[in-house]
Amino acid sequence: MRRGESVLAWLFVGALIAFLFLPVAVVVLFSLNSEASTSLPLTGFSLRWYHAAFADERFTSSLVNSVKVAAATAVLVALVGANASFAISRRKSRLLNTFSSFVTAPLILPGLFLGVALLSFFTEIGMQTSLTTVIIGHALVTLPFVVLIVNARLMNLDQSIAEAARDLGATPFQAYRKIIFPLVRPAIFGAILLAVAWSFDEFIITFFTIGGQSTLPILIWGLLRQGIDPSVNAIATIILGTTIVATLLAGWLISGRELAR
Amino acid sequence: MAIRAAPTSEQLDLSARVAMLFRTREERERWLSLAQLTPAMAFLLVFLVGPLAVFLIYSFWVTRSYQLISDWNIENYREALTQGVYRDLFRNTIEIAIVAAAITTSLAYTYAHLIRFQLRRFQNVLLFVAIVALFSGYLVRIYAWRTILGDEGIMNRALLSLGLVDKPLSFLLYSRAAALIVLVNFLVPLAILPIYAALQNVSDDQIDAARDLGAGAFQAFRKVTLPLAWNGVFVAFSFTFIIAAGDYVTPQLVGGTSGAMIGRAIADKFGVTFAWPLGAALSFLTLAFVLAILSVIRFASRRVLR
Amino acid sequence: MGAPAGGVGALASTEAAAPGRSSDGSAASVDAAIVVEGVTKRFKQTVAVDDCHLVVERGAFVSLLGPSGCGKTTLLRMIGGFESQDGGRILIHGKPVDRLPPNRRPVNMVFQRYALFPHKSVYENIAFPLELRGVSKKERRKRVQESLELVRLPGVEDRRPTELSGGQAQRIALARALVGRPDVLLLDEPLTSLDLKLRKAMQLELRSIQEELGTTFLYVTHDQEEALTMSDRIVLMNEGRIVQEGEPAEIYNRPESVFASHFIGETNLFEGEVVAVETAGTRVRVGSLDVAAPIGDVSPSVTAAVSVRPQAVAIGPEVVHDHENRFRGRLERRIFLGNLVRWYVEIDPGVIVTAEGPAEDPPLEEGTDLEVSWRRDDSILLPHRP
Repeated sequence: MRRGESVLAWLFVGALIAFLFLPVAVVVLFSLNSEASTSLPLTGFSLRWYHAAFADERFTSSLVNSVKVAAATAVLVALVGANASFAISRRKSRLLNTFSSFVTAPLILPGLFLGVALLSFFTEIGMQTSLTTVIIGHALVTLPFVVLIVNARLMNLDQSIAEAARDLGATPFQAYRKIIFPLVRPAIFGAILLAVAWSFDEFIITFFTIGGQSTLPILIWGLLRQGIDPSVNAIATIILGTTIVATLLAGWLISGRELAR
Repeated sequence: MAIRAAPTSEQLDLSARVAMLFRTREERERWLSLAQLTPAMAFLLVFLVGPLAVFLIYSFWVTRSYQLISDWNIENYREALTQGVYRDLFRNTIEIAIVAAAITTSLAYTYAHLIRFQLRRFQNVLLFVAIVALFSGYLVRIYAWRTILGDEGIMNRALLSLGLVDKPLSFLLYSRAAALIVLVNFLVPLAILPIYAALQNVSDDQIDAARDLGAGAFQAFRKVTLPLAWNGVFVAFSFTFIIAAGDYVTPQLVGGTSGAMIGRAIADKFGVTFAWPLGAALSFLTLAFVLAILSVIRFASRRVLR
Repeated sequence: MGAPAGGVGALASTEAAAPGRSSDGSAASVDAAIVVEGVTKRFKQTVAVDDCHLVVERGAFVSLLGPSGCGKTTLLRMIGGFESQDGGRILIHGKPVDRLPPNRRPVNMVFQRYALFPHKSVYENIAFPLELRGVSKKERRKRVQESLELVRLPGVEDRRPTELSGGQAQRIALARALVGRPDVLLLDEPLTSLDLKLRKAMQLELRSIQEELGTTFLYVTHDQEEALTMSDRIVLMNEGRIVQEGEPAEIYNRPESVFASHFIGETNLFEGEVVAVETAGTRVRVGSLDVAAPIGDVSPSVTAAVSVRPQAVAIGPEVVHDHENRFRGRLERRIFLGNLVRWYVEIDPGVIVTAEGPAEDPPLEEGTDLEVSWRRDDSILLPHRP
């Protein structure tokens, strides 16, 4: 009985995974196509579209913007989010529960909704759309990543470790620096990487809050509106590569090599 | 054996009282927590509550000659609710979003259930694969599907070469079917997470106990696993329903006419037409419809699953 | 041996016996390792520790014993500096430590789940307090070695805590807490998560390490057998208060309350009314029988309890001792415990006497008619207050 069920299970799981990664595979495949066609069979292997992309000034400036936004978002949510996590993990209270629901709200609302609401807000307060406004939008959505992941890690830590450190002679700051922080650090970095992965690929909120400039997803959108530009696949693959690598690293860090007993 | 009693506040002056605030470890910790929470709270108040509030206010304003005027009215809502084009869009959107959410949740549940109960040894890896899929693009995916589903695309090429059809199936793209396929494709990884988390809380012992007491495999599932995991399933359904209903890129790139959704209309209002108040009203109405439907489902499910 | 104290006057009965405390009761004895005076702790509505007074002598192994929620751990944590006090004073080696944070108190603690730092090796864990103090590398190495030898676990310096077994982790936690040579070591139920055999072995080892070092140990446990095995003195707590204090034998043989007699060791407990107070002793009516007990601080018609240890009860078809308490009854149940046998005899409707002793040959059969007896002085008279 078990054997047969296992086979069916693998079939379903395999098929679903194939379905999920099909578009990814297609994009990567055609980015390496030597001709500008997007139908099979492939005409040949070539990196020309990547060369074309890197030669294009619009691409390189968009790439730089994407990196800037991702980096700034990462730093912002790391600082704000990690601190909030520590506060939440210390004790339960109604205020903290409200905060937790609040902070995860941006994950549930559709990106379109958040994008136009942010645009309205910035207009109303007279703030010009720019990379800064984009960073604010990205931080809004990725803040819960940090808060939830770091909080989960803190909950897993044995509370008495900090007390033991104090008992053995450490000041509160020493206990934090030598004992707590090293144990939480991988989770923080993992969460940051996920924020970077998300930010790099984000389109809809960025679209409404970026004003005249461009990030990679915005660039792709622009190219798509103009017709078929085969380097779109290459650009898309570059985005995919970044996000997937960042996610893999995040996974390795978060699942952690040292888990407190 | 003198016992030192804690001094009452009347006996102290201001500076001593302040010092008393930081006297105990617990109090110091409380202040530290407050300090650490404040930046996040402030950020959310300003950049989450603020925009939502402004957005809501805008939905009651008008625009004249490309200017936002604070002429309070409910015309936007009236227009959104009475105009045929919007009503059709709302209906279309809800239909597509519900079907997408239903299919997504079913697929996601099956996946989560299988990796949790059948393929246990690999569940961590397979969960991680789903998470990687989650972060594997949004815009890029949707655009890729356009390639796959087009007349010249992989799907049709494959069907033609296998001799299953003799003309390309053009309903695969720019249609409701396309919208559904695309939505399901990027929503499934998102739905897997809360369902898997809920299934983790279903202990094997509970299922074994049910089986031991006479329940068949399907009964055990229906009476033990599903009710316990229901919260996770409902959360997954809600997330996917809301996000699908509010999607813009999908209907724009692959939806065509039959797959038209309100997201396009909303985005439009923030483009050259500069009809922000109407766009805001449409947004809030969409949210309202979605939440209303979710409440009905939640209520109904409570009675059924008890 | 004299009349046991009739009340819950823990302080009164031990004051005369405890060395290092002057007889007028003033506590600030510079000889004592720990002095706790009137310490109280409240959590919201509950009083976890209620006006406790305690003196722990230098070099002693003292256990804080009691059921969950009795306040023993809270009291320990206040001594360690992990909970603030709502009143009272704590002195360690004569110095008040109330205002000091844990890192500045000359005490160290062994935590219930060891609290080893998972990202550091065993060596780094133990060296941690020395590092903080700026001890030289060479000296650190030496002292870590010493510590590991003390807990009989040399050679594991490079392992990680996750690679250690429960018993090993516990020893490393102990080594780490002792390497700084604290004046006092606090232990918070450190053996709870070990299995029975290992726990018993560790009890003896902890005791021998303590004797070797001469450090004062204050040990919290809910296991009365553990406390009896390891301690010089036991401090029995219940509902935030210190209920009785003394050497193990003293508490075992002369419990001063129903709670104490219940909590420590097995006991028979009979409740009834005092019917006679005579020069020879007291008589308590239990059911339809009169139980003889020693003289005590009770008056007639008062409710009282009589506690008798099962080992003090003799049993047989006919008993030939001249015990003041002799009753006939039916053997309800006989339980064989390996080295001992326990008999349950009903002497009056609803009144069952438990007797314990080595196995008899031939074994008594359940349902037979027997006599149980014990000396009046083996009865412990307790006021009927929990």
